[in-house]
Amino acid sequence: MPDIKSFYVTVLSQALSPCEEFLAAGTNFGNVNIFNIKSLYAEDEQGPRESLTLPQKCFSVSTKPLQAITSLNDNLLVGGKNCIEAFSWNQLVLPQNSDEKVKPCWKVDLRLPTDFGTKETVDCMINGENSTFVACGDNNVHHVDLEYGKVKQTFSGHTDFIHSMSLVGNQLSSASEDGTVCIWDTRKSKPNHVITPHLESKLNRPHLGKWVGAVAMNEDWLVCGGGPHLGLYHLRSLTMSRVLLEEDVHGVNNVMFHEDNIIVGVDGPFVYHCLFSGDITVKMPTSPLRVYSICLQKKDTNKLLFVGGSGGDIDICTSSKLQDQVIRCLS
Amino acid sequence: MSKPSKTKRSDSESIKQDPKKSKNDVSSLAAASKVKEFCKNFMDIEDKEVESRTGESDLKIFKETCCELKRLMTDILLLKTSGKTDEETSKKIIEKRIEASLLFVTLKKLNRIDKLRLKKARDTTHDAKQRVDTFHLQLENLLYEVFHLKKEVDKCLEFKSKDEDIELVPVEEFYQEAPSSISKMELTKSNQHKLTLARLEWEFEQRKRLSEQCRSLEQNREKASSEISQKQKQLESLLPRLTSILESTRPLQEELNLPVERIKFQKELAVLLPDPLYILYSQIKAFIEACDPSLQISIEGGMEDAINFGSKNKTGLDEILEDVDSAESDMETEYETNKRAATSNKMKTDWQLTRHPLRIQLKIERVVLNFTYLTTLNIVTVDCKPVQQDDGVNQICMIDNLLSGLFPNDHGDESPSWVNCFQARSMINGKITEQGKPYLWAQRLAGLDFNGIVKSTPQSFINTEFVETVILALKSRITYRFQFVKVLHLLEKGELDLNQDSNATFPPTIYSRLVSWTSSTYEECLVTSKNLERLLNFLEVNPKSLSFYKATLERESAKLLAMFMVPVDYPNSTPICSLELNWNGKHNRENSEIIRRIEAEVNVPSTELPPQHKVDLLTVQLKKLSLHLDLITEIDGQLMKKGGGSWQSQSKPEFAAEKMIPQLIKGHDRAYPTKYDTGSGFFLHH
Repeated sequence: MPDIKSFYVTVLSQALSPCEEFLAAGTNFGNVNIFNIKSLYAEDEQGPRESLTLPQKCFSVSTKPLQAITSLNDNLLVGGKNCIEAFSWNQLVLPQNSDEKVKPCWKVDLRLPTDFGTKETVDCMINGENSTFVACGDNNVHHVDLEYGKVKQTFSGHTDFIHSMSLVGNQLSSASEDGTVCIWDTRKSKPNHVITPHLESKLNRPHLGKWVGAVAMNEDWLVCGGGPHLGLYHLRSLTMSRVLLEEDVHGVNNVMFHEDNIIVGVDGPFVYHCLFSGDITVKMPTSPLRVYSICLQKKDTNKLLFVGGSGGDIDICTSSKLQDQVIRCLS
Repeated sequence: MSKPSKTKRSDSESIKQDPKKSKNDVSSLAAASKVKEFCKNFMDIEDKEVESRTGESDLKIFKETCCELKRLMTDILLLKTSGKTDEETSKKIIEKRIEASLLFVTLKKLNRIDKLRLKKARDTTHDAKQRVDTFHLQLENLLYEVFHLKKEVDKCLEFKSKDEDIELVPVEEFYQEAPSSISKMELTKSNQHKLTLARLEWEFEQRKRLSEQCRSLEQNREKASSEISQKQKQLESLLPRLTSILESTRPLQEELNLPVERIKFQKELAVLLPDPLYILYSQIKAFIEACDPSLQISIEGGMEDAINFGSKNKTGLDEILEDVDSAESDMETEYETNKRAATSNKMKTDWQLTRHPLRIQLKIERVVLNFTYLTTLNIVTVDCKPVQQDDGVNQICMIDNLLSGLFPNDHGDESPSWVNCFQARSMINGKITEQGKPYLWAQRLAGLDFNGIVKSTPQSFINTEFVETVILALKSRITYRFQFVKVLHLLEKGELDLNQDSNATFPPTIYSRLVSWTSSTYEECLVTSKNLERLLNFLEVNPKSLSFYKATLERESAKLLAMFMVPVDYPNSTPICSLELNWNGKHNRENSEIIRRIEAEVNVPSTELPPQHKVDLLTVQLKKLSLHLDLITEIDGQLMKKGGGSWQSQSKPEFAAEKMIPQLIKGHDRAYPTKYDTGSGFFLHH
């Protein structure tokens, strides 16, 4: 009988190793599951495939849900309780040794205020140049210099926790539960612009709330959504130019640009691929009941897309954009 | 005395003589009296004369007289003969005659005197004789007396006193022990007799005392013996009564499975057990005797059946059937017949399920396990039933699935033997409830090892640890099941009472209430909730090892329906629920992360309850559910105010915010707080 815990696993965050052959998935139980993607796709792989769909390693980092993990250089950065813990990928890719406990190779203390533990969390994390932007429970974004292990800058302006961030050059955008998307210059601590999608009547979905669950930027465009519909904003003018996925009834949890497409993970068992025009190219049903995390291979020719969310299953989609394999997190 | 009478007689004689005389001398009365007087005088004289004279003198006189007379006569004769007729002569003769006549007077007198004398002599003699006689008599008397006395003396001399037989205490002892009032030392020292008497008296005293003692003891003994006999009688009367009671209680015993009378049969029956059951019996029995006397094991079934069965066991199927038929007619009691008839019918229709007439009954607390041996299939099956009792406990809940999954994947649904899995399929289809289930552990206990493909015979190999493992597993299963049934009973009443420690982990007021708790079935649950099937498929559990319940929690219009699946080894395994919230639409795991989170919170085992309250796990889960129903309804209202998205469509939230929640939503998955901080009373996120 499988552990009931694995039924209630939610994959909240994912990160690929630098070689993109291994996937780390952070779960709501505070564990990191390491999957060997290379052997799963190796043509001549012998032996039971069953075991390949399970993590080769699973270790606990925190008792809190792992909302944010990223891969930077040779390290896996995990947002823990009031800190960022770094694990060496070289160590993580080794097969599981039951005796050996996985230990972080270094740790950055974030020195967040303690308040029943609600503010000590790391809610979102994206990579910068040898640094990382960490959205924390104090509703601020902290720019952490990893070389010195110090917070370089703090961006404050949100009144609730931050769901998602996107960085292009010096421009940082953050989507928050408070219903706003702030656009920052990384050199300034106050937001340059604030977008409030729920005030756009076309986007507003009051029954779902005003929260903004996802934001993505490229040079020209910003796409954000959550409780409100997914809206495509023109960055220069900061005007909402199009409502995307109008017919979808779920909240938006993830969004990312990929080539000509916008990949959207919603608060339901679907991943959409849509064009800037709003045409949906793929509506892919997923094993996760709600998508909380999507991760894309950038170097590999396959360009595998990993979709994680509510339920321990992570769908692996090939460039054909359809579900190819399912791997399962244990806890 | 006689003398006077003699005298009288002599007087009367003389009187008699007198009238003759008086006749002769006719005289007057006066003269007569004169005569009489005279006679008397005369007689007196004569008496004196007689006394004065002697006989010899009278004889001489008589002779002289006679001689005189003779001479006279001779003279007369001579005179007459002389022829002289002369006067002289005549005168002479006359003279002579007168003379002679006178002589006659003398003679007469003599005669009289003689007669008197004779008479007198006679009287004297008589008197003397009389006197002699008296003396003689006296003598005789005396002699007799003497003789008698002599005899008495002899008797006395010969008399043997009883005291001689009595064994007396030795003298020294006597003097030592006897009180001086009895011993009288001075008196008895010298007098042997007195000594003896005293000793006897002492002996007597002693004996009296002892006899008194003896009597009292005797009385005691008598009393005791009478008591004994009375009791004996009672006991004797008890036996038939007891046997009759036993007789009458036999159905009850059978009903209650009391081993009162059976123990003695057990050993005899044990011999008749088939090998697998015997191995099982002996192992468990040994374990019970060594480690756990609270269990009871017994062999059930008729001895005759077993003997009959055993004798024909090795022959073919037909014979078995015949045997059953014949055995049927032999049955004595109606009950047995019915049972047996049912068995035989079953056997006829389904000979594969031929079972040995003996079965082993193991009683653990309130549950009875029956081990049966199916001879054709060569497997041991187990079924269980609750011991009858009326305490309102749901008996079906008690035994339902009780033995399922005692060990991992051992649900007893498949034949443990490769050899007969096809034969056994018929058993699986329907008959299983009647026959019990062939659990693997039962096979192992019975020494049947089916790991190999070849059908194996019972092995003498005994793994004692395994018996203990099984018994402990059974015991804990049954104990917990019993507690669980009690918990169920409370839940059916809608009570969510917990012990203090567990209660402390919950806020003091929870508005949501458990409004119903009902038992359900797998099928019903599937119909009600599709989500359940997904969960079950994921967990790969056999629905047979679960019990299904339907719980409804309510807070005003919010209804939370929870399908509970309680595993057989509850509370060692956590019950699993599948939720559906009916409140402004239907919300479940599939369409709401919030519900999924609550499910996770309830289903994923978190903190271990202390062993004594382990059985409250289900109640804790339900309480958690009710708390979460409170939470989600309140948070939803707060989110609505904040514009965070809400299920409620009306303008005002249904429930006011009462709970202290520092942060409503947290994380990318927008999770609600689930943790209650007992110290601060805050609801926090994990």
